[in-house]
Amino acid sequence: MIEDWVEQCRNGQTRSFALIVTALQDKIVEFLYRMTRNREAAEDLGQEVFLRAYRLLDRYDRKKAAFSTWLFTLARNLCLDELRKKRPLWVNLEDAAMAETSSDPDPHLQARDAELEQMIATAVATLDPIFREVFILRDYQHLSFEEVAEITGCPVGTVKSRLHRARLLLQDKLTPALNA
Amino acid sequence: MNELCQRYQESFGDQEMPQELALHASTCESCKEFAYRQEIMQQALPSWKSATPSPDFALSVMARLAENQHRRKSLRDLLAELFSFRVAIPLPVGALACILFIISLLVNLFFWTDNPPGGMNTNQAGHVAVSPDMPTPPTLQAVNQNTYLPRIWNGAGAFLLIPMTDLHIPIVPLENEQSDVSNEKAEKI
Repeated sequence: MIEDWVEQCRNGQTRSFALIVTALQDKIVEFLYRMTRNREAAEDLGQEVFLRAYRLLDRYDRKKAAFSTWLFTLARNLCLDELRKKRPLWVNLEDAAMAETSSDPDPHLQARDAELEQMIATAVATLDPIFREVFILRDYQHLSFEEVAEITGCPVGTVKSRLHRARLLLQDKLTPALNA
Repeated sequence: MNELCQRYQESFGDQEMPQELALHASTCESCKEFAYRQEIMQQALPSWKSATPSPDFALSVMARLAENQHRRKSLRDLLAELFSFRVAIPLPVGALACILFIISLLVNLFFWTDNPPGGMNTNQAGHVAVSPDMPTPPTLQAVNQNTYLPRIWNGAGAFLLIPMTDLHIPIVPLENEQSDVSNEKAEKI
């Protein structure tokens, strides 16, 4: 269905692009949020990803990859470019926002959830971006190894070893606290 | 950790895990420990809640898209306006310039004789021989700096340079040091 909308966009039907945005915005913004840990930045970058996708639509080849995979590639490249600029503001803002997200009515459980969430987010954030992206794409976005390989531009073997490395690092950081 | 451990742990969570790896994991303590720790972590991962885009996300994207398209269109109009001076150039002037240019090329092509082996008419010091008694003018010294181009380009260059300078670069080359042309040039300079 998305591929049909892409074709319609190429034929000048801009409205079909709104359907694509609506269908894929959640995945893209979620990925960017987990990479940057900042909602505003994720939303800004998400908009930029879709604008860039529209501009580069002629370069998309449906034989090579699904449109969502191609879009993730754009998002990943844009995000890594931004991360290289090292904006410390991103993490600070998100730390403040995260405490407001828990919806548990019990204040004690609410505090525990917030602490756990904070702990995981911080542990993931300490990963190097090349490990972080693989971990998020695989364990949060549930993409296949082949899709992750396509997005990151690495062989499947490299993706597997990076994921393994990321999981080991996170286990070391999280397991003691989780067991306690 | 042996090779099977490595392969099992790298493929953990893969639906198409080979049977030999699954069998290995059931007997390997290291892989059991990894799987246990990974299970605990996988259960905790959803605690990190996702961010959902704002309700007007798609609208914002489409608005920016429309804005960009409008801006691009405006830029195109501006460029078209900037280059509209083309029509203001009279056609006869352009045609005359082209004709003059072609004539100068043809004149040079048929009347400019080939350069002598030593380059332009030079004396032993390698300078243009304007007159044996006079020092070589700076402008002609510059000509001596290995800038001898094929004659067709000399012609084009001469055509372009003539209106810019009072010094007339010789279109007819000096035949020898005692030629009348060179003497006339020397007198002029």
